[in-house]
Amino acid sequence: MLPTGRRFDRVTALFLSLLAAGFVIATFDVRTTDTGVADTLRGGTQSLLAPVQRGADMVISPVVGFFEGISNLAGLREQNDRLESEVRELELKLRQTEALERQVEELEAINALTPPLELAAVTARVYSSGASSYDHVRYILKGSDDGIVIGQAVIDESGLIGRVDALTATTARVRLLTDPVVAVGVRVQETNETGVVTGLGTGTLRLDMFEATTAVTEGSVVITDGSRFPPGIVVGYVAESADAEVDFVLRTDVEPAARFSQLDYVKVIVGWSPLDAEVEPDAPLISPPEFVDPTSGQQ
Amino acid sequence: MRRYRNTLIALGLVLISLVLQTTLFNQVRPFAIAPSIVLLTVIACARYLEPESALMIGFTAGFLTDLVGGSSLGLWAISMTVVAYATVKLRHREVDGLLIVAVGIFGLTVAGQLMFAIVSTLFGYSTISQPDLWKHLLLPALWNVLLAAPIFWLSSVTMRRGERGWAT
Repeated sequence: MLPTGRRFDRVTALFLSLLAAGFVIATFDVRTTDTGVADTLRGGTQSLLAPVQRGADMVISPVVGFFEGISNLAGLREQNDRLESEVRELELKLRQTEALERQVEELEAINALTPPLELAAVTARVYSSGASSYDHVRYILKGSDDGIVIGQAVIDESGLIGRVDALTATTARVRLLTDPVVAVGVRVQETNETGVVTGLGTGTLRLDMFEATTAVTEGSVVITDGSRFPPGIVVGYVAESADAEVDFVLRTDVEPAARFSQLDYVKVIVGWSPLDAEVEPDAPLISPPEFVDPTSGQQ
Repeated sequence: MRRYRNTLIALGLVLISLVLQTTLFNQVRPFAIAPSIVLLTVIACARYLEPESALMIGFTAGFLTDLVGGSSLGLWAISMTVVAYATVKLRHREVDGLLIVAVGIFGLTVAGQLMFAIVSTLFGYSTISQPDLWKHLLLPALWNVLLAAPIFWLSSVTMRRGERGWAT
């Protein structure tokens, strides 16, 4: 039974007022491009909640880890055998790689090529996530005090995780690659052709290549192209082969390299100036490596 | 006096659920989708609060969710206000039985998640066109049904309303 009369009107009026307030706030937030009241509110809330969340995380993490350990006990023996076998294979590959590295060093010396820049990075612990299943964000325990600015790339040992899109002095919000609003300029390592990887809101990413002339094959490595993020970071692997057709966009799925459900520690690359970063005018930036003409031997 | 006391308790429960949502359920995500316990707490508290307070708690819980989330402010505030309003309307129905309660929680959670998908799409996010939208609608609802017992128990113990209504 619906309540009737004056009380019904008052409740409904309040309900409609709150809906209207919600729409006004959302419109205001969407239309405001500069940092303003909304960002101040977000930063303030995060600053207030961060100590509580950190404390809760310290209590919860060991408990969750304990139960995960118990649930994984049965598979540990099998996993151990598999890992031992993998270690032997990797040792073999390592010896081969060492030989290759020596060859590369010799080639670099011959061509007077500058080795790739070692980019500075800050390690941070993930302590919190967004508050709904639609959110593709994680919060980390490092902020502007540690040299982090908005737009910087965030990686883990597998590859690119996302980018910093909000921060306080001690915390930062990382928007994951899986978020539909995130787009990353990429290069398919196999063909060296460029495209854009976009989040779909799920575990899979979408690759669009607008001027592709070569087909991409399943398993090809997709890396950042250096336009917004540092070049050469693994983004993922092509999930399904796709042919290039003239005047058509080559579109296929990409399996992300990173395992977003198991993020514990990440690294923020602070030694790179992203195009959209809010950098202090006098802040020192690392210049890109200078081009050396191998034929003349002069810069 | 009780009205304000219950509203404050509800606010406290919402804050606790928000912390758990962003910490515990950052790590515990069955099938990669976490339950929506803030939404569940709004449903649980709206059973005992005055209609106006229930709406305010729904709006506040949603706004806090927006503040710690990745989308625009106001979107979850709208969605949770709708859920609180629906709960206030439904609690007057004289229904009993665990099955009805479970169906109610499932339906209200789906409604909240769907409302967010629609509203966020209106504001430029491509939420409703996500390939796995059904997972975001159904899985949190399923987890919420499973988590309802402790949350409902906690809300009934702390808010101690004499008159029990829907989902006693």
